[in-house]
Amino acid sequence: MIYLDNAATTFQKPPAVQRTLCEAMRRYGANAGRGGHKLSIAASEMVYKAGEAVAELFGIQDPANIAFTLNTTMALNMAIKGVLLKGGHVIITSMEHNSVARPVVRVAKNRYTVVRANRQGIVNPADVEAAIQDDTRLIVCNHASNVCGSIQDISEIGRIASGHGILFLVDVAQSGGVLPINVEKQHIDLLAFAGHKSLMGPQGTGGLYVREGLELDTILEGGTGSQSESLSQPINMPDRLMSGTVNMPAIAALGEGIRFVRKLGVGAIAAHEMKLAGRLMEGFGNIEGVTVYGPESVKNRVGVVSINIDGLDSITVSQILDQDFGICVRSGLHCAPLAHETIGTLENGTVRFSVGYYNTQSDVDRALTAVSKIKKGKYV
Amino acid sequence: MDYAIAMYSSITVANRVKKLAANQISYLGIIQAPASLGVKGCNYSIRCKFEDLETLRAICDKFGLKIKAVFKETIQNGEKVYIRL
Ligand SMILES: Cc1ncc(COP(=O)(O)O)c(C=O)c1O
Repeated sequence: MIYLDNAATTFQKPPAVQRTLCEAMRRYGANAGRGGHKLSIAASEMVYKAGEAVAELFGIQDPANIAFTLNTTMALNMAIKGVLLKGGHVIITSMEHNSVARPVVRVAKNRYTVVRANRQGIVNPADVEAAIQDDTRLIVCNHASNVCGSIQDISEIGRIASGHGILFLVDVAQSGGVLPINVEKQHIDLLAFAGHKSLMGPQGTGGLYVREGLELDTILEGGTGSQSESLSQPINMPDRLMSGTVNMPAIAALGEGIRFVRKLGVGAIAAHEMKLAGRLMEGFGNIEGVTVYGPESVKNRVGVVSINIDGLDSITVSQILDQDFGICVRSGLHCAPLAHETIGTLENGTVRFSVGYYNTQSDVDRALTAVSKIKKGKYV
Repeated sequence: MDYAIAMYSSITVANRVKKLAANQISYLGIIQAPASLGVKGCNYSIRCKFEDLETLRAICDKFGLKIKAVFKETIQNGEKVYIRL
């Protein structure tokens, strides 16, 4: 099989990640932060070390300000509802995933503005500034689109948010591990990340960074292994946002995934993925009847390349790729209808090829050959 | 040997202190201090040599990490006793 669905979840994972996951279960699979015995303390230390790795990657001063979650969706829900449960206006972009759009619609009712990106999926920061209202409390923006790979200028949007005293939440599900991110330099108050994508961790991992001193309303309360004498949720991070048993083996393995990324260097991983994405874009561009979406230059995107083949349904194409060519891609709306509406593909969706660190040039070439054959109807 | 027990509000804070102090303090461990000490909560604490307590306090001060309570752990008449400082 050729796996080109890394935007959903990266696969393969580094050997050290696989090893750590198994070792955590075999050697110290106790409940982190729920006891004083050696195994529980060792388990909590693994979670702490993973927090340190996240902090180092994103320029976060104190690992305690990172709460691990089950995925990006949970982190985004905690941030959006944590800020907006008490009301206020929120700005999102038209490139957001439903993990932003749905909680916003639910909690903000009609007090939200969607800032439209252009057809290439790029948002003009000036449009974000123009959408600010007196009671705007939050701006939410994804760093890179899971639909067409477009990258937003989060430094500029962060500067605007900070200048207006508005909280800035960035969804780095598609960019964490492949683009440089620094919460201080980019004025990010809340950062939601996926552990299972380019940070190379297992599924069931993600997290939320909360700027020091910012106290979110909670959407989940329970045991934290701290201040157990109190019936109120603790204020201190990460306990405020981490109730219940954590997914320690996966979090420990995520820590290893991040160390792997840092060792190789975010820039080197990005360069590899850009090369492959560029090859895909160029190759698709040379096949008549294939439309490539998103920014024209590979420089403005992560390794996500969405296409359509004239006259063919996107889901049919991915089924043919899977069944006849052994190539895994994702088609349809990718849980981001606003983004598809923006780039003009709401009806048919797109066929999304997303490269990862473990892909090779030969994977990409086989995908190009397959699409060419499908276009010519020569695949059976 | 006498030990110092410094209690923190959570395991995360205790882990952070352990990490920050690792190169400056020779013996360092995280324990859950006994409930009978009268401090409410889960009592995650750093246990270190008593002589290292001032270094530990200085590190906590420097990084703004609040110590909930400090005890001296010592042996009296063959029994372990805790003295609140
Ligand atoms: C941009 C973006 N945001 C959020 C999510 C949701 O991520 P998760 O599946 O980790 O909840 C995704 C998933 O693909 C995504 O691409």
